[in-house]
Amino acid sequence: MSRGDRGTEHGDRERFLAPARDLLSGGIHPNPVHVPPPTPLPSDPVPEARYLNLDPHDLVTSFADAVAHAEAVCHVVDEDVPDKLLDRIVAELGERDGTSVVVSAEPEARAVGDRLAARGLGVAPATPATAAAAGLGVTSATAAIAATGSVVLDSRRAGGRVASLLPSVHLCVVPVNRLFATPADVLRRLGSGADALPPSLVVVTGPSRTGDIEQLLTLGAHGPTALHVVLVTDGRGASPPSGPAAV
Amino acid sequence: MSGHHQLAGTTLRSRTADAVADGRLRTNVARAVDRFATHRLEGLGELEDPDGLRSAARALKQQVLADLPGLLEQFADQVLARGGHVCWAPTAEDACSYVVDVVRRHGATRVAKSKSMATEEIDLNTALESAGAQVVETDLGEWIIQLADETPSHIIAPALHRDRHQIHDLFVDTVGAEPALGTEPTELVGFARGRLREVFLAAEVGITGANIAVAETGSIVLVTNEGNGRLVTALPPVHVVVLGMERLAADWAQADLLLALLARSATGQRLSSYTNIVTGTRGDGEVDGANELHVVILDNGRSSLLAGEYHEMLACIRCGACLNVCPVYRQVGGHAYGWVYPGPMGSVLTPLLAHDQPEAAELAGASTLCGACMDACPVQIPLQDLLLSLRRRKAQGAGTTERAAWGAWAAAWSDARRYGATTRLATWGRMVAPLAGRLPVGRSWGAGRTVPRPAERRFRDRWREGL
Amino acid sequence: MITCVVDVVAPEVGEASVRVLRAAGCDVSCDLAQTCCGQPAWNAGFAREAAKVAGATLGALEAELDRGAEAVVVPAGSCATMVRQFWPELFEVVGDADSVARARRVGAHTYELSELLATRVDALPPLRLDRSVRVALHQSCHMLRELRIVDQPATLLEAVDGCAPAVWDGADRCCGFGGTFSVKLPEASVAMADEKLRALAVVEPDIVVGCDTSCLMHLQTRSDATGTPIHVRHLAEVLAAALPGDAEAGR
Repeated sequence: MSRGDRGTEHGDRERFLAPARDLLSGGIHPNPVHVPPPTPLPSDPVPEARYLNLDPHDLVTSFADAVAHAEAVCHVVDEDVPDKLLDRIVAELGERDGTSVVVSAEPEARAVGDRLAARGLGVAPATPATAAAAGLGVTSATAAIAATGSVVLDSRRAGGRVASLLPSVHLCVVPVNRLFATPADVLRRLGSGADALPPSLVVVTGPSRTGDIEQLLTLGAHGPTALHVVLVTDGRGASPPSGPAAV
Repeated sequence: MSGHHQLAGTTLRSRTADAVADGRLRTNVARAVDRFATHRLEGLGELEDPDGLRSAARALKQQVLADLPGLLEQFADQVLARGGHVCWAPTAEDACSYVVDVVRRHGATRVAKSKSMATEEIDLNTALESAGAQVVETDLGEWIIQLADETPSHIIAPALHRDRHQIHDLFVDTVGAEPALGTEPTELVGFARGRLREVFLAAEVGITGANIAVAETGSIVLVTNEGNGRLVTALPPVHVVVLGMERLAADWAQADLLLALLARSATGQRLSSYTNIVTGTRGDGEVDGANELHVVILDNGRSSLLAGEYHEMLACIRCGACLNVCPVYRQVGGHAYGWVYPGPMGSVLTPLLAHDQPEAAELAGASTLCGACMDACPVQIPLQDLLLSLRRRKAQGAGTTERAAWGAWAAAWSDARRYGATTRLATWGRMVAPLAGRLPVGRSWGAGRTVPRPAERRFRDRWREGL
Repeated sequence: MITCVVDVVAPEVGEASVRVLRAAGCDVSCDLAQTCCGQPAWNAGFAREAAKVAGATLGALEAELDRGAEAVVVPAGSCATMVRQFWPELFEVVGDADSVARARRVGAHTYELSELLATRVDALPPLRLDRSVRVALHQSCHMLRELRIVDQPATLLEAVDGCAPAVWDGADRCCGFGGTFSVKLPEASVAMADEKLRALAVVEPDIVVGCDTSCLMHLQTRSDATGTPIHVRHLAEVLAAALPGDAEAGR
């Protein structure tokens, strides 16, 4: 089956849905003691959450704080990923053989990759094989979210998923004009337009973690153990316009 | 999942009694739920008017359920249009046989699973293993209980009943960890990371559930902290989703509101580490992602709840908040509930979904009706009322002794004079007290508590005499 | 509404309630045609049986309202909840539409004791205990979460000179009684009581106070059996004991 073909349907749709249709046609029995609120119409707006930790006039600081709260590291820089940070990365990864760094297809990631390669690291485009052996994955993001400290990864833009997933350190470079205030600002735009969604869109909030052992937070379960987010403000200082450019 | 649910052949009483006697279990459970419950309050405390949002989420779910058939069709059509395959599975058997078929057609023997309560419910692992596939759970908690041949004891933290020493010993005993492996969580997690990484890289089929299915775009939302959900959907060439038919949102505005509440209610996080939105298969120019997507839409008794007394139970988003505040769960842990879903939500779902097991009905009694669960539920499911409904349903099939006892009580106490006669101390002393020690009721109370006595002069006596 | 538990097992709570209500300027009546609110059977799933019993009490309370009573006061949170929250559904379930309306009327006039007293705290005389008493307040589930009576018991205790409320872990957690739960799952029930008792032991109260005799009785009987008894008092008893001497003269 080639891409672009419609998938196949198994089982009988009508037979499956008939009991539901039947029961719903008689109207819904509302709870008489804890009465539900009135059922909204599809056209009624869905309320948006408002986040008390968010300062709508200073998304950058809110974002940086939220990134830290999610156990990741945020670097707010004026122009580009700082040399000092790259030098540190080189120092930490320098001991490994082979490909130490994988980069996504995004131009921001490729640019960082080139600078790391110039410093003598092995840098390769991310594939499952290269990413599995790498110590660092570099990507950009299609959006960042201030209220939660999240970065949003688009597999179409990145050319895949593994750069942000297999290496134990993930470095994500995002320009401030993709910084949105809340998840609603990103999520509620999805779906407008048939091709809007890539095959994988991941809202990443901090590194991988688990509490499965005595509910103690341990980072680096299956995904990256560390996440570094570099927010590039391009000299716009601490208060970018709160209305971001289109995604 | 491995292990066997203990519902058949045991009683709720015996399971809870065993759990209460296990001091280590009670310590582990209390520690876990206290953390979750505290974090939940912190997480919700960061939202403006969290109760208003919960009410809006309840209303939103009512809207979804009212239009469920139409939304399911829209969802399915979107999946199909993006090249995904859809299986309509009325029963557990339909779902399992479809998934087994997919696995067989690919000649796959290595299956990686991301956590899915729905697959536990239909016992998918057993079906796959019978078909010759090796299934490995990749959520750390689920892997732990798989190795221990146990069932999950909490819907968010399946292995919370085990402490680090128990987990260490399990790794040594079952997967060849060196005894020198430390018991620090970082070491145990590091060990699991290494082992399960091999599983992800070698898997031929990845199976997940879905936290939310968005009808408008045919997307599956998978929420994890560990990243196993991403790995299972990035690496294996085939991705199978088992989706409970009620887990829909109409559009992204609805999904956004649910996501604002889900992680906060479960663990207190603003968002889980990974909110993974899967729409269709690998794109052109992408180096990873599944080539083939199958979405199995599962009924297995859910549709029968629509529009009736138990309708609102279908709003459940499987966050586990109710477990974390339940004073009964705190003392007995998840296995005492005997089936897939524990705690308050399990006490309602088990009698409704495990309808072929007669022992399921008594789950409705695993509650003091304290109401803490209702206050915690992000979609405000009236759990207490659902439990009372289930008790009425169960009472209809009650044995003659219980019915006769309540009937006698009603006959006596529906009239003040008869009530007066039965409550006099003399009556009590003559008739009831001697029986109390012999009746099961008396023994149940008396084992661990002293027995209260009626007053010599009741209030009504004193009132008559002049108060 | 006296409630069957107070009537039969803890009549002193009823007496104390009457005294405190009178001290707050209320005229108190008690129609002895009432029996029980039906909750034990309702919680066990036996609606018909519950409705039979509740019907007797409904009739008695209705008659009181007809005779001019302005409020039905209940010295038990779970019974007040049954009347106000669940009676309409009870009669609906058994198909007695008339009683649904009658139950709504009675429910609209029904108050748990502390709920009512808290609105009349200024009408009470100064409340003072002879000696300082360290008090741990247990908040019973139904009145807390169904009727949303959160602060009133504490407010009333704080109005008593000599009453020192202690803050303790899990004060609002269920005690484990739960009606038939206590005898159907006794091990879990006792374990829940034990957790409460352990938390109480940390703050070493002189008395444990609550607004539901069932909860207090559950904790008391468990503590008695373990050999480290606690002393329980209904809120009404604490308030009555704090009334000035002449308010007691009416007896």
